[in-house]
Amino acid sequence: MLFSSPVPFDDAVRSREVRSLLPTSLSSADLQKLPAEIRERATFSARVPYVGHLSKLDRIIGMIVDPSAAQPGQYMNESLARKLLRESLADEGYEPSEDDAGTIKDLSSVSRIHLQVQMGVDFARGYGRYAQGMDPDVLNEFPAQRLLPSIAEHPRTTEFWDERWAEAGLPDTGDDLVALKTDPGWFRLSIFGLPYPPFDFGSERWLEDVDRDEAEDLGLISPEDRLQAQCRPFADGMTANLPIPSLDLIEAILNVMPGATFEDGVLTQISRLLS
Amino acid sequence: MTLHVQLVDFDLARALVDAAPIKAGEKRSLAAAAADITRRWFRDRDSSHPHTMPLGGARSHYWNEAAKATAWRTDDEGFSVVVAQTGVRLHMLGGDVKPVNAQALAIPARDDAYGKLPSDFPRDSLHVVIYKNAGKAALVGPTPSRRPLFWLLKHVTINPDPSVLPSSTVYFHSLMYRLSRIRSRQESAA
Repeated sequence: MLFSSPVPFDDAVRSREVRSLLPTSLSSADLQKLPAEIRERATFSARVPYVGHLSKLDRIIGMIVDPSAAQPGQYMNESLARKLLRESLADEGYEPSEDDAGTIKDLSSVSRIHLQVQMGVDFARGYGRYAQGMDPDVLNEFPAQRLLPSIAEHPRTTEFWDERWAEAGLPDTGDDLVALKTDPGWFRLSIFGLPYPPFDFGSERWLEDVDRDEAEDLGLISPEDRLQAQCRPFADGMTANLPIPSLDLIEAILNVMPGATFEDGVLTQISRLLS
Repeated sequence: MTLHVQLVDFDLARALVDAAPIKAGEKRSLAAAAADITRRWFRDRDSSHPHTMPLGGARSHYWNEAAKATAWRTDDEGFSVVVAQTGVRLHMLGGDVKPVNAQALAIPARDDAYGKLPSDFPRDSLHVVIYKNAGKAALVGPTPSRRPLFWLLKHVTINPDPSVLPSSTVYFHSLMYRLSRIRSRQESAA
């Protein structure tokens, strides 16, 4: 039966609700130094210090992840997102440098906006799928998952991913890349330190469930094994999304990086991570 | 619009439920299996449908995105598959699309308009041309091109396409198999 009223993907929506805006002047490489648990609770984009722009980006991602509240004429898509984000950049007086214009560094470029929107949506859906897969009964029936081939326009090579798979300590299951859902190697496969896709910038390698029979055939699990479900740290303490950098988020960053500097709410510097 | 399929209302799935009461844990596993079937279906659809405008740049991979947006949920009645992706329901059931915030829908007429809106082009580079004989209007440009970039339409009719989702038989056989495997494992463990 098809329902006339739309229904959201709750777990994906929930992962958006815990995020707070984090305006920053830092580069993508610097932001990667923040612990994954903090990045999971923030909406940010490299060298985007504009709160208004981030807020709009956050709403756009939210509208794509959860289209259930939209009426005809309000549906969000990437081309409309491009229009809205370019307007907000114009309001901020943003202009790319001559060298950056049209490149990924240009906040108004097609490639940058695609990356910002797609990554935000993918992280939400990736988390949603992960959370659903960690239901104890579902985990028991589908204990493993397969890394699917890329559908990216310019995919990284198979050798690249094979090597990364091995470096992450994930099991050798022949040509197929299959591992238990609870394998800590998934965290290492991701450059973001997260156990769900996307596993890299622009990566289009998604996951599919592998059932117990196949996982046993591959030697990943024995019939008597029952896996322990995992959950992400933020899932226990959901907090409402806040329109400005929240004190909680600033405090969390300062706890692990006491030398981090905020200027007018914008993260401008981080120091080494406390061990 | 979100497509929401409550499998328990399929006749065959109803038979499945009636045949043997399903425990809560089994229900969640079956729901996850149904979502998995749906995701695979969408991914197959994505790979079997060619790029509509191959020179228009990167594909949107609409059906692959639908697979990512697919989830499951359970309730007292049974379980459901949720596809939180705009337009899936429209593709499945068909319908009439009319402009809401504009005077006309802008439908790409050329590869370079694929995935874009008229606002992606410099405003003064496009102009409206009315083809009286054909009864059509288009946005033409960007200058100096005289070829239509977007057709301007008062409405678009989407025909229903039941193949958007697997048939209830596909769901039923897969879920029956899944249930039998769950139960045979339980028996072995006992």
